[in-house]
Amino acid sequence: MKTSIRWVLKILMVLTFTSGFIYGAAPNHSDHFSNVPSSMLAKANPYSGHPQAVLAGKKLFDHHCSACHGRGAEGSGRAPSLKGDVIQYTAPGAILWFLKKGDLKHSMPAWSQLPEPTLWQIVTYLKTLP
Amino acid sequence: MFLEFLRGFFETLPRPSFAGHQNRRAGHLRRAALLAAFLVLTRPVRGDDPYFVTYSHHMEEPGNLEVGFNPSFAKPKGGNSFLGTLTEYEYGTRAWWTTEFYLEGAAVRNEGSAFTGYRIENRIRPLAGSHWINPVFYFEFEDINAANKSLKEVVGFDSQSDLAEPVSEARQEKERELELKLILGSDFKGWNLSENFVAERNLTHEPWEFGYAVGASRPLALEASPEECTFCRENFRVGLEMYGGLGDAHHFTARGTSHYLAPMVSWELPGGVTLRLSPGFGLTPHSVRTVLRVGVSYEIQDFGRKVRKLLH
Ligand code: HEC
Repeated sequence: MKTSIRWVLKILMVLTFTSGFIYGAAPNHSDHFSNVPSSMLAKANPYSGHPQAVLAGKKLFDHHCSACHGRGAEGSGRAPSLKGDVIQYTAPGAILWFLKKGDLKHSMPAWSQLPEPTLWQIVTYLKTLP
Repeated sequence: MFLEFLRGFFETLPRPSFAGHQNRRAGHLRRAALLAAFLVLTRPVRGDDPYFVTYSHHMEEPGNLEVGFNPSFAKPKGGNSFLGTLTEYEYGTRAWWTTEFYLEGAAVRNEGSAFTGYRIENRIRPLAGSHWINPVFYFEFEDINAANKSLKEVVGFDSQSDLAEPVSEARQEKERELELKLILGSDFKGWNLSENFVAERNLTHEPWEFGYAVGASRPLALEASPEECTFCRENFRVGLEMYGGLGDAHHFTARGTSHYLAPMVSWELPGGVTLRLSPGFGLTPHSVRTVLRVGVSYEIQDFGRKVRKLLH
């Protein structure tokens, strides 16, 4: 019994340190879009400007994002505002890439479980924010 | 059977300490009231994976608590039909770290019901970023008894005869176990593919036992509709999972143990409740012929902060 527990503790310690290391090496908060692969940068949003996609994106945002980013994406104590220059001047493919991977170290979940068309709908809505 | 179902359910709910010296019924009422308050006072969002046994690499959102109730119904050969209940509380400790607590109960026809133990588990996603295959490490401690019928995993040489043991005897048999899982998950074109490798060890004796679970699922539609809707295709997910034992450290084998194949469907209601249903089919003579699983889950956003506010 004791050897099992000791083993698990050892594994846990190694994992805690290695995850700390990997997350520690994650980019800085303001750097979310600095390492975007060029293939993603070049991706066009198939829903760009579609009014139906904006509505769907707003609905998805309310369900998945508003608790942290605020009802109108104005930001909250939990997460920054998504209004303004950063989102407006970032390539849609770069936003999609970031949403899929999140920033786990800084409490932004990864959204890879949402299918790509759904993520594009969210990006379409984000692009309409003032 | 309905009464047994209710009893099995209440056996799994937490017992508030103030209920200790009250009579049983008052304790049950309080637990029901606690549950009702929990459901009414909180604002829900949607859940995701439809699996019952397989874990994916998707973590609980940080600060959120998902409460789930998963009864499974089956009849082992040579035993009475039973209802194993599993109540789960899944908390997003960090975006890369999920903690989960489980309470389990069983109600067996003509034998009565029993509290069959608890588990506590932590899942850690060690790699930042999204990859083709995303690993997650899972560590669990469980303190259950042999009357446990939640069928949360299948390992070693698990067999339907274990499930046929009378509750009164089985509940005396304590099982303190350590369980490790390697979870691998991928998301591709709306599909989720997940593979789990399970290693479990009874802390007092017996060798490591092994098992596996694999699952695939996909929503019926990949695009969301513009309006709130109950029956639209994006709210439904269908999937298939297969799980079973792989023997133990002395004899690593897929033979002489149980294996199941289970299709499933999940339905996300606009209110934020997710319903899941899965008939599972035993593939070997050691497996129970059919296991019907039902799941109801409810996600409470920003639970951690709400609790901290309440305490201040
Ligand atoms: C659990 C809370 C939480 C949820 C839910 C959440 N986010 Fe975030 N998000 C964050 C945090 C925290 C950050 C800031 C991360 C940092 O500081 O590095 C962030 C950052 C972002 C950024 C980068 C902003 C910038 O200026 O660089 C975008 C874009 C974003 N989130 C979009 C979304 C979308 C879209 C959703 C819903 C699909 C969502 N988030 C859901 C917590 C959340």
